[in-house]
Amino acid sequence: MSATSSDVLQHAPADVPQLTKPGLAGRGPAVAKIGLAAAVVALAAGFLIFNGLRSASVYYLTVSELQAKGPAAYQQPARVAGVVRPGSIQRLSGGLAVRFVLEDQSGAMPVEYRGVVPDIFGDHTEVVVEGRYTESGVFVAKTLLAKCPSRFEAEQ
Amino acid sequence: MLPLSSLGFLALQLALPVAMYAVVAGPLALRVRSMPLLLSARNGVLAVAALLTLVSATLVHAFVTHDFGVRYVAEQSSRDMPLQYIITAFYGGQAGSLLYWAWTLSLLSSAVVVLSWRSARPLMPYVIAVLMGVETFFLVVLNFVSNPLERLPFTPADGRGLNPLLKDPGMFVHPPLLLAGYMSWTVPYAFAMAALLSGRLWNEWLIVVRRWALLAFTILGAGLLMGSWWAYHVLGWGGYWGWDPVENAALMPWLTGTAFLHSIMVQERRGMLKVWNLGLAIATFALAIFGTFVVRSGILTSVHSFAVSAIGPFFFGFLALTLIASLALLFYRLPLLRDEQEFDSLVSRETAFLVNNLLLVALTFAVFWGTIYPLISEAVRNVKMTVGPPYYNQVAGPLLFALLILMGIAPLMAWRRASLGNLARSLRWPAAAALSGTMLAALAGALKPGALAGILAAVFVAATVALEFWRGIAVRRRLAKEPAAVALTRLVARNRRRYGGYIVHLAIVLIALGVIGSSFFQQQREVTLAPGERAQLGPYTIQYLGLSEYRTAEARLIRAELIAERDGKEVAQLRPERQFHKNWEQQPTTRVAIETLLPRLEDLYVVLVGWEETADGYHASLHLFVNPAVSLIWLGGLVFLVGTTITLWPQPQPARAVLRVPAALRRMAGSEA
Repeated sequence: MSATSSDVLQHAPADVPQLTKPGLAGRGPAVAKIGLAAAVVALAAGFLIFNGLRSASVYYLTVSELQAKGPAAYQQPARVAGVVRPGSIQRLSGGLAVRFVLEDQSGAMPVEYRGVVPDIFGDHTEVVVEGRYTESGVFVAKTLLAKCPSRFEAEQ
Repeated sequence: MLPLSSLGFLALQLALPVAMYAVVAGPLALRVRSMPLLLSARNGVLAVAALLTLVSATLVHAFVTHDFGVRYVAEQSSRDMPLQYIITAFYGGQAGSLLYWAWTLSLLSSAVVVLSWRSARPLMPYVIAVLMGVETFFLVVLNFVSNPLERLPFTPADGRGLNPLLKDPGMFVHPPLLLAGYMSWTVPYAFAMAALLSGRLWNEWLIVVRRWALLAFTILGAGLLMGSWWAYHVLGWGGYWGWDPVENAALMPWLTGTAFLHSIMVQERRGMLKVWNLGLAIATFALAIFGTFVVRSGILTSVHSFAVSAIGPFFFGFLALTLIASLALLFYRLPLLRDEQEFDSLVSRETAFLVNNLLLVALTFAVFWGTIYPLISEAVRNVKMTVGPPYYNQVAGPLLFALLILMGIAPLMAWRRASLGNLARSLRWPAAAALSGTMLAALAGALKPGALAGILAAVFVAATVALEFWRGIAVRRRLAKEPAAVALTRLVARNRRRYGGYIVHLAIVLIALGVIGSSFFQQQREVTLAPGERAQLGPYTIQYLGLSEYRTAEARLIRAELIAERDGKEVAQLRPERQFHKNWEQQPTTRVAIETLLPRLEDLYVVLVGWEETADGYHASLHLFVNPAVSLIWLGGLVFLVGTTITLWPQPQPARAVLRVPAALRRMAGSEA
């Protein structure tokens, strides 16, 4: 193999002893304790992740997928992506609320949203709404995200 | 006459074979033991930098001269665009940002082969090969997939212009910092791979790589902070961090990079964690490539992954290849990577570093899992699920709390085996300070358990750092009889690594306090007001005076005039705006009005959402926020830069023994089996 032992000694800082202890057999009790501590950290993190996913994940659907679920989707928290139908935007109560139709190739649904509308929201904008689908067929959104501002590329 | 951009086009083509030459010539020089060949590989690195500088210069020239025959220039700029936005137009699109990546990598690679030539000569053949291998990938993409100097078949009269979201001072700084931050993790990766390829796996590569890793840590950290600053000041949603996939992508390599910077100390001091360190260098680079790729591909922002852009498969292929090759090499070298020592005690500095690493990696994993969860759930359960900020806050909160506590204890722990008695004695004062700080916060009304726990941890860290400084100063005052100020300066100047590191810890404390204050105690409300009407938010009364319109050469501005009062006294005048830029009238941009109010250290943050003409004038819809402590985050950012600069600043060293060339060459050649 490559490096000779004299190389190793030449290059190692003087304060590091170059002892190599034998394999697992020679390991002290500290190693076991530290292994246990590491396992505790890993388990705790795993639990946090599992718990977080269980309580905080929502469906991410297109308009037609949501509608295909039918009544099963009513009042379930969901995140829906689609495109704003041109000409469908109605601004209500002085701009603090908006109604529009969100559509994709095969579905369309009205969306109601109260809150600040992102700068790039408009006809044909790709948006993601988060909220609940209601029995009346209207999606009541708590958040409205326009296409991620990190992508400034022109659509060709 | 040919346009200048054709010259750049040629230079871009030429850079590819030059980079490929360096990839081959470096390792070949080692095999045939030829110093001239090695020098030619090094010159190849410098030549790539010169060529890509020329390419970038011709692209800037095309922007300045409005050469709309270049497709990228036509897409990213227009005749009426002020000159200063050319900088943002350069990296505003895909092709330009990839060129920026490749160009900065070529400059940094040149810096590496020049500055680390002496200290790491035996590794250099492979360092050059890996750096230029990565460069080759970017040059392939730039030449064949996304070429910024590609010409259109015709020359349009004017360009499309720059997206107005990019027309902001914050955009000058944070995207190039983030891209450069991603890019600079290539250097630690290159050294790690060089160590693996050459079999020179002792501390040599680590000692050289520390500074480069610290540089990458600083640049990416500054990019993250500037990105948050931009989001807060420009996007107008009242926050600075949204756990967006793009933000997560930038955070992950910074977290694993932070872990790397800490764990290499354990290898330096104790010869342990060798495999772990190499693994972290590889993982950090992979995450940096992933980050570059996520920003540009749209893989995570669209509901279905078919919207991925043309460069997606290239990046995925590169990422997969890099990971497989690196891990295979790591596995192959495992026999050489046995640790020289083992842990002596559960209570020791090295154990603290190990747990710190586990927490940082766990946090990275949690963020990664949340970010790619839509893809995973779709693949596994055939239904796309997604997680938002609640998931991240739930998971990150406890992990960050544990990290802070550890950050407080670890500096007071001895290497190898810390005595519990000593540790407890050292921790008395910081613990007392933390408890009194928490009590004060509770008396001031911060009565939320999560916030109090965070404040406890943050004050604890600040107190241990203060204790460390105080002890160091006391020793110098006693032994060298120096006045306190001199002792402090010399203490820091002579132990830059250690005390610079503590200053970075203080920066983290400030940022933590800012995050705690603003995420637990933000107040907000949305209102529609008639002229003269008032709204109450927290202790503030905000009065809307009216709307006015302005015009500039580039844009039409609508501005709301507001006055904020507290206890009947005027504390701030606020003027939030909407701007309608020429050619982009459908996409008005927000100018948030922000006033930081002392002594409570709160930001009044007002967004003009809309307006409506009625009989009694224009009604304005406003989104009002009170954001406590956010300015501590920006202050922490400044302290972060001070700390990292101190750590990076070269320590004046006693005359160093320099390896003579023939000896180095012999060793270099001898290390090849």
